[in-house]
Amino acid sequence: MTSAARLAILFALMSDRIVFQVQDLHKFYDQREVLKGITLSFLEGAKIGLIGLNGAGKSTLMRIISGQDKAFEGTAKPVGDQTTGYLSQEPELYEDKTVAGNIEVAVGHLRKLEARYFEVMNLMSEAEGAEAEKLTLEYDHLQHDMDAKGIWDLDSRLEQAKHALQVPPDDRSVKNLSGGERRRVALCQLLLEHPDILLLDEPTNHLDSESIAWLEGHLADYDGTVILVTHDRYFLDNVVGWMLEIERGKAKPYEGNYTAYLEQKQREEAASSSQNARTEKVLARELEWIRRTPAARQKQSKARLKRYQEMASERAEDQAESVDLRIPPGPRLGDRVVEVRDLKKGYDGCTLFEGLSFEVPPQGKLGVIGPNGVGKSTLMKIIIGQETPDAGKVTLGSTVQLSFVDQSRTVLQDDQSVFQNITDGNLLLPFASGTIDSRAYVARFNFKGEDQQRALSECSGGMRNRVLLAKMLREPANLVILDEPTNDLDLDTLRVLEEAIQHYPGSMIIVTHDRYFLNRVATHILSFEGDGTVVFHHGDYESYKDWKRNKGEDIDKRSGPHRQFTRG
Amino acid sequence: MAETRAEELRAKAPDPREVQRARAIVAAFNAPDPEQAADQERILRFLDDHQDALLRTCLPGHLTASCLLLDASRERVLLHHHRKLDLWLQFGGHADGEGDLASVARRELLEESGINPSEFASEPFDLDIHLIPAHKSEPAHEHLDVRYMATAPQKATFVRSEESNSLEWFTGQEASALGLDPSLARMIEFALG
Repeated sequence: MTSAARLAILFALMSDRIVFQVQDLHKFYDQREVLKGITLSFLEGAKIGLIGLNGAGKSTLMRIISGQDKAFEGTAKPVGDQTTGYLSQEPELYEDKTVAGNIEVAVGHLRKLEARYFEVMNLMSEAEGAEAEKLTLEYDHLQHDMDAKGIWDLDSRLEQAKHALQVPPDDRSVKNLSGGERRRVALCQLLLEHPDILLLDEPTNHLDSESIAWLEGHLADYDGTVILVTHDRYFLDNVVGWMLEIERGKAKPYEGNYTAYLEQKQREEAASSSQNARTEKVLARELEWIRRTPAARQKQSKARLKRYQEMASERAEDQAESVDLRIPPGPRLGDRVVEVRDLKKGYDGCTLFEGLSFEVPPQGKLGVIGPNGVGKSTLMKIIIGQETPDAGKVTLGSTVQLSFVDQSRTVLQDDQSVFQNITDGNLLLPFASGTIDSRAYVARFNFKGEDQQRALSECSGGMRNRVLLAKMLREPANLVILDEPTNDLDLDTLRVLEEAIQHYPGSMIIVTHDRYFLNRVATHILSFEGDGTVVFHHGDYESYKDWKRNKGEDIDKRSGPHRQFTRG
Repeated sequence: MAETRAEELRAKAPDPREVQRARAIVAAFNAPDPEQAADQERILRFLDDHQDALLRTCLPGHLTASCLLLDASRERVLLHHHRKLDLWLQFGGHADGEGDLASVARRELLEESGINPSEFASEPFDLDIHLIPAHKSEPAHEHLDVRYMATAPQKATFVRSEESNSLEWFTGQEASALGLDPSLARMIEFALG
């Protein structure tokens, strides 16, 4: 190759523009050093997934890049005039404004650009000489901005985003919105604002699968840099081109999506030593699962059900020790677990579901999916007997010991340690037919050494979630109902939880929007279709999707009248 | 400060994953001449033979990364006059355990010049092994240097670090009058033509 050709290639490589530079960044909380000297350059247009254990400092790094947190040592600054926008876990809105008012604020600067564009166009028709030249120059600039920022079709983009993210009606005051609704408004705001660097902390929380699919497409095409934290691995696989791992205060980039990251990670673990053989095995199992074709995965999920039945006949204590987390198994289940017959329920003359019948088989893992507000939680409440149906009935088997894992019902004590919160101070906990050392039980939820002694008030959101999960799964049961268990869990914990569920000899009902999670654990799907019908499907989420596709419906696309509305 | 950092580095154990990372970068290099091909071979062998090749405590030699910085119009290069070595050099330094050599080069560039490059080529463009003479308690050893190219933003201003006597922009012609190390002259010749 000639020098000139080599140089041309190098210059092409250099066209990667750096938009944000982090240099020797240190961050302390009291005495604890969370970020220990991070040096990174973020490239223009890169889509980056931040990954790391709960409490590793992912949100901290995002806040620093966004400019909200200035209490750090080292450098963290945008190169040139790059703008940043940040969706936090609890976003702030203009409390005195309506939903529409809040969104208008976000597009304010775009509206101003548009107004100036038309103003300049008018002025140009009358100006002469040097003045005219100056205006022409400005006009060219404005026209470029109008194109780049998509201002020409701002209104239709606005309607589309509002609809796709299920933003509440325009005239509602944001004061009365639920946490999930507030996040949807904030996300919509941020996407319309179109910052050069978009920072998203768990953007898929409180979104249903249709909104998630839309957001995936939007971010993958986003004309700018995107840095995001999410536990949704399909989302990562579909959106990001880089993974940035935060571990023990250091950051390490991996090129590729989540699957590519897993592959590199597994190779590294294999190269390092046998100490991490366990981690490597867990990674290997997940990879093996990803690599399978959808058809093979389905076959496996059928085999899974059979395996559960075989497993149930083994004694729980004999199960493989390679599983890091074991959900305490309850007594053996009889043939009947949950039987739902002709169930009907509605509120204020509006029917949520009607004629609903299905059965959860022993060892079955039922995934419950559907948009927000269509009756999933109501159904769970009927099953546990908190609410009564309008018609029909739910029968639980005589051997069933039910445990309902409800995040809002379990109370944690902020001033007590992680260990205290999970165990209530008991040194031994019931497990299978015997007991387990409490410390060992807590360690199974990825709380090691000093983390067990940490006060809950010092824990990140995701860590609290793990404490909650550990506390709630403490009581041995053979039917567990989990309501959105994956929100805010870090991927290591999720992976372990998935394996725990796969090996759990009881039955489960799991309400979740996390498609990846469902595919790894669910043997059956109960889908609330949003129009009052509820479908029970034998097989995992992927096979359910295929089945829908064969019927001519793609569930990742919103259908029906909404679609036309977005054309605007 | 410098002392404690050196101690900290000495205490550091070699991480085979980082070594693999560095190895992959060097292995992917497409050597343009026999000289660099030979250096590439040697660096690969060195990485295989020395698990601490990324640490400056590895005495026969260790990996370094450097960066040739061009101005925005790509007509001049920025060099610094190294205090300890008394030579005009490109910016660079020790890997200090890090296998991502591009990141090392970028870090050193920023530390030694204060300039945040607007562009940075993610693959190395030159390899070289050179001897560092004994200095005080430090015995003579080799630097196995992996070199990157970057451009500075328009009107970039540099900040001298305590490692340099001075920093200066040079055209190709001016640089060739400095009597530079042949491998640095080779890089500048390549970059500025």
